[in-house]
Amino acid sequence: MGILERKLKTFYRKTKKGNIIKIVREHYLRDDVWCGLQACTVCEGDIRPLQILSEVKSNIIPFPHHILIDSNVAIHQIDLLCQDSIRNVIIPQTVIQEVKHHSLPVYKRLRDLIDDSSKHFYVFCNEHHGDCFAEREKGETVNDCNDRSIRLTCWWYKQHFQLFKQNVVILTNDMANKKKAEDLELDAFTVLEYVKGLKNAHELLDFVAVADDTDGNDAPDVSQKFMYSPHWSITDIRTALKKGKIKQGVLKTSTKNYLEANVMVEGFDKSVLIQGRENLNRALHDDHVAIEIFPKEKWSSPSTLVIDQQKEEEEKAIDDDEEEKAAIAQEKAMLASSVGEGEKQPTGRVIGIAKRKWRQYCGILKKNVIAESNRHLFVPADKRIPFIRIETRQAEALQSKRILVAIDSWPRDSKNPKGHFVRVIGEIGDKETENEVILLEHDCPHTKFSEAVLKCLPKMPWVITPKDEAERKDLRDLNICSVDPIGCTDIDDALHCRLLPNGNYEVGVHIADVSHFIRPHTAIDQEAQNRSTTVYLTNRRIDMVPDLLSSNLCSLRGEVDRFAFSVIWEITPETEILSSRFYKTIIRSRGELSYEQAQQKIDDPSMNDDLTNSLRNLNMLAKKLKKKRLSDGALVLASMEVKFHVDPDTDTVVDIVAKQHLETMSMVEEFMLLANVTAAETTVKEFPDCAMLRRHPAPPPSNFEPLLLAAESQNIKIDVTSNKTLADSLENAESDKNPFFNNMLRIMTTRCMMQAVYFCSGTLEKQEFYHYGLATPCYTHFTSPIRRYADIIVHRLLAAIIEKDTTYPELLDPKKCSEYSQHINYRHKMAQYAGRASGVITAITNILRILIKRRKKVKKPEEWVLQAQNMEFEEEKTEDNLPKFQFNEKDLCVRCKDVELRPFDEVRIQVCVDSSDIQHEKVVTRLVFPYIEGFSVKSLKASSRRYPRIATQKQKIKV
Amino acid sequence: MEVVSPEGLRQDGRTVSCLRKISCRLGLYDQPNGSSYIEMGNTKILAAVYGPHEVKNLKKQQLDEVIIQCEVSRIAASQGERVKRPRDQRTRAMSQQIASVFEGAIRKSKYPGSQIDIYIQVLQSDGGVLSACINASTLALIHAGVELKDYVASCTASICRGEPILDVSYVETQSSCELTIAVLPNKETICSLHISNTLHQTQLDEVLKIAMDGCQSVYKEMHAVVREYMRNQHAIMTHV
Ligand SMILES: [Zn+2]
Repeated sequence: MGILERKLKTFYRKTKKGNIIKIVREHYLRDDVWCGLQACTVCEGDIRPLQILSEVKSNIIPFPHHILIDSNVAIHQIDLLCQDSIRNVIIPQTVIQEVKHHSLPVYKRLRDLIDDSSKHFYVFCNEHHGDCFAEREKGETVNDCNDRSIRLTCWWYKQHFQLFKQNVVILTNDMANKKKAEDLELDAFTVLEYVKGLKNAHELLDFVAVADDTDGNDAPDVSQKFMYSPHWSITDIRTALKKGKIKQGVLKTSTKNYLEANVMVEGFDKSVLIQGRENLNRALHDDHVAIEIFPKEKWSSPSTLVIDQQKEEEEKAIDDDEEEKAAIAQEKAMLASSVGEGEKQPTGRVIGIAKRKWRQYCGILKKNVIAESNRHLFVPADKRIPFIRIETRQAEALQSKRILVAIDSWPRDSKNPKGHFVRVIGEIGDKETENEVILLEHDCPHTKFSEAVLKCLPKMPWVITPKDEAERKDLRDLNICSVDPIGCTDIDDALHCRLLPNGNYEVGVHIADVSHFIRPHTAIDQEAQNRSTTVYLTNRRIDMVPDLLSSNLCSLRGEVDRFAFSVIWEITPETEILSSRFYKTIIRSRGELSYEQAQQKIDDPSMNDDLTNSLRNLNMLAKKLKKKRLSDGALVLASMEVKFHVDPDTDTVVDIVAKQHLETMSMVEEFMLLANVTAAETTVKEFPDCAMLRRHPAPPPSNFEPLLLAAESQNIKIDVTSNKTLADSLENAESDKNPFFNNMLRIMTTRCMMQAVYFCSGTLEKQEFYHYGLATPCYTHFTSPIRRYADIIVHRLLAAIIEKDTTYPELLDPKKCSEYSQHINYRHKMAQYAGRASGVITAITNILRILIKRRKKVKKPEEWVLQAQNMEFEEEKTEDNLPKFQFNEKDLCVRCKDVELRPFDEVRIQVCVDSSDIQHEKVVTRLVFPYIEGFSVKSLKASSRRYPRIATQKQKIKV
Repeated sequence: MEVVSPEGLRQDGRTVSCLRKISCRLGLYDQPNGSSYIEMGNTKILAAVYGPHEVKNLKKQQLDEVIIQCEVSRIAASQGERVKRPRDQRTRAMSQQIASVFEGAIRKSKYPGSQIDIYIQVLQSDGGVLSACINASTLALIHAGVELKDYVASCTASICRGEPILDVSYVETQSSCELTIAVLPNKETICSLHISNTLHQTQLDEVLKIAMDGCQSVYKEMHAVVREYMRNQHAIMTHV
């Protein structure tokens, strides 16, 4: 048993220099590839998911059967394959390789199905099977050869399964392939035929993806109908690119106008504008597109109107061509009228698509006005995505639901893309539904942890073995405690401090030893790496690692033994750091304190126990450390976080407060920063090429313009030459009139900042490591491995440095480290957006709830006093009878009639919720004071009342 | 890149502990005292041995034993892309490694005051070049009738996602290390060990183990060919 024959696979590849080289790879055929049938007595092999079948489940296939699928089916019908009743599927290796090449997300989903023991999916290594390998013949394309191999596989299975009275059918949507399979006397079906023939067809038909004619380029040219121009083939695009005739880039659709997009391409400073349905030519937001740039005289400028699909796509009978034509004409006219008079921008059109970035979309169904029709329009929540045409038989039931839909194709003759229904997310307005929409739209992995991942968890009850004790430093006798917000269950840090005989302090920061439980290359590691971060929504936490770790074994809870990764410093009373060392330790926390509790202990002079003294020392040292840090130029920024106090039982908001700041918060923060800096310095010293660090680039001067203007309007000078000068100017910026002024300036400064990012130390010059906000030459994350994957990598590097763990090639590979950083950066960004979106939704529901609670029949607005700190002006397509506002960019003020509004002026506004668009509810503010005739609304209350003072992030004034 | 698929096969269809196909020949040329050709997968090596002969550079002469010189060169297109020079730092380093391997394997005191030259040509390289060069040299030395303490059999191994893999091809070395060992199979001793890229010391044992087993298999293949060659030679000689 083993290798049967050696074949050579030859192919040609172009090198970076442009030379063509011949590559020969070996390819071995084997005689021990097994069929995967549980009861097979001929083959040897340990993984055998395929069952012996005896039930006939189809009306058209009179015998029980296994299903073998081709690549196209695997790629496009993944939602169908996910359905429970589709089981016992054979996936040839050729197919899974093509899927992997074509789309990683689909590949991952397919792999999950294969790992799911209830699905009975089996991967058959046909390419290495002596009878199923197809050698490429002269003139045969790779695709044809792959198809032939898949047919051979099916044929082999048919013969092999006869021994056990089993059958196999092949599913393919490729007619030529189907014909050839039938010539081999195989049972071949298209997916639609097959599903229609099933006894439970009604459950499955919605999930069948519309059979697509690849790109719709073959569609007959009916001149009557609306037609997009054909897409160029990939080869044509490549050739033209090389000649410089066309450009390539990522299409970014405008959020304000779904008929306008921008593409950044090489060779142009400004992005290239694409306007109109025909020029966009079926490209979607984020697609990699090839574009042709128009001659200069046809250049245009971005439109100044907000064009919303929702408003334009009126209730029309979507089957009517005439109507459609009229609608398109109308759309064009509108677009033409919207084109602004601003500076002209390079303009072009999409001629081909290099890579589709289709994903699954959340949204709602817009029912066809023709009652009996199955064809409906789907309205995506993401405004940049066009409406999708789907077929479903359950439109009535889906009316009040948020649903998930996938795009299958966009033929030339179809105004909208075609797709299929994937699943119901839930009832509109339901808390869980809204959360899931946020998670899906921000690409946050949030499904339950798979069997494979859970298998990696340690067996309970978990005990510390003598071996663990021998390998770790025992710190259980130290007075360690954790200080966190109230209700925190994933405690990843704890501290201690004790006075040494020489008068110095020993300070320890102890971090959950997550890397002890999450070993490289395991399923749990891959999952954590993919998630990269825990996502916090206002009422839900989506863990990066399973609960057993995040809330139990890795959580440094009080009075239990836990593994920690500790950093221990010797610090003089003047906060000079004499030494720092990392250890793998065992600790026992003396208590899970909240910030408030810790603060009380410190403030209460009657408390004199060891723990309290330790906290007092920590606090004292932290203050000195902070002072030193600030004098180095670290910025204190504000992001005026408003916190909703939610009553956990009724889930209603009890109070909205600005976050309070306690000394103990700075205390913990200060030592975490110190631990992170120490970790960064240590890793980069030992692994200069592959340390994962975090940098914060200095903002370009142009970023500061709004801040400088705003400050100037109050006659305050701000020096932005360096972080140090900026910090100093902010420190001195005060206004007598306005106690919030300084805080608002800091909020504005926050908005000028760049995003801090992870990177691999080997990819940048040392001076670029700088962290602008913290004013440290190098920085990383070490202190929250439960909720950030970057910290796990840092832990692994540190463990290798102290010789407590082994390295592995990916850990030391700068290229991999760079890849990981980028992935983590992406996930962090998305998680942040998701958190914010969740905040907005909570705000909306809670404002609604407060309103309802106060028994106001109509949703009457509340009034709050706000400081107009950053007004955004957005011109919407509205009635023109409103008074004209003039925005003076130089002085940063708005004039209307005799009223002048400047930043930091006090305004009074009403807040209410606009629910006219159920997918985009928003908080609407209306001006109450100063009163502008025809624009402001009348105050609802007697002016003598005191209003709660809240500063919001943004205030939109519709003009 | 996925070196071992979830189904347990490598890209070329081998299992983790499987050698690539080996084929070798002895005595290709008349001019040198010994010559051989070996293919280990797609790595193809030609070796020729001259000597023992008089030492050319008398300064280097050792009166009590033989000196061994080795020179590796490669043909321009051996790695797909053309290399400019047939010899460079890499081949020079490899030459020295090979020479030192045979310092330990040849009974040097048998040939006092003389010199043995090993010339190696890399025709095609696809991972395990050093290892194939050592094997080719062994065969050529045997063909030349140079007295060896034992065969020198060599092969490579690596580790991928915690699993040791034997006899790595070029693509497989791209994502991890390449450990080359040469052993005296009948004495079960290692006479050379070389690692490119890094391998953690805790993983060394298992990688070494799989490589040792691999060397035994390589030895069996080589020995079979040598025996076959001897039998044929003998047959021809008796025939004449
Ligand atoms: Zn079988």
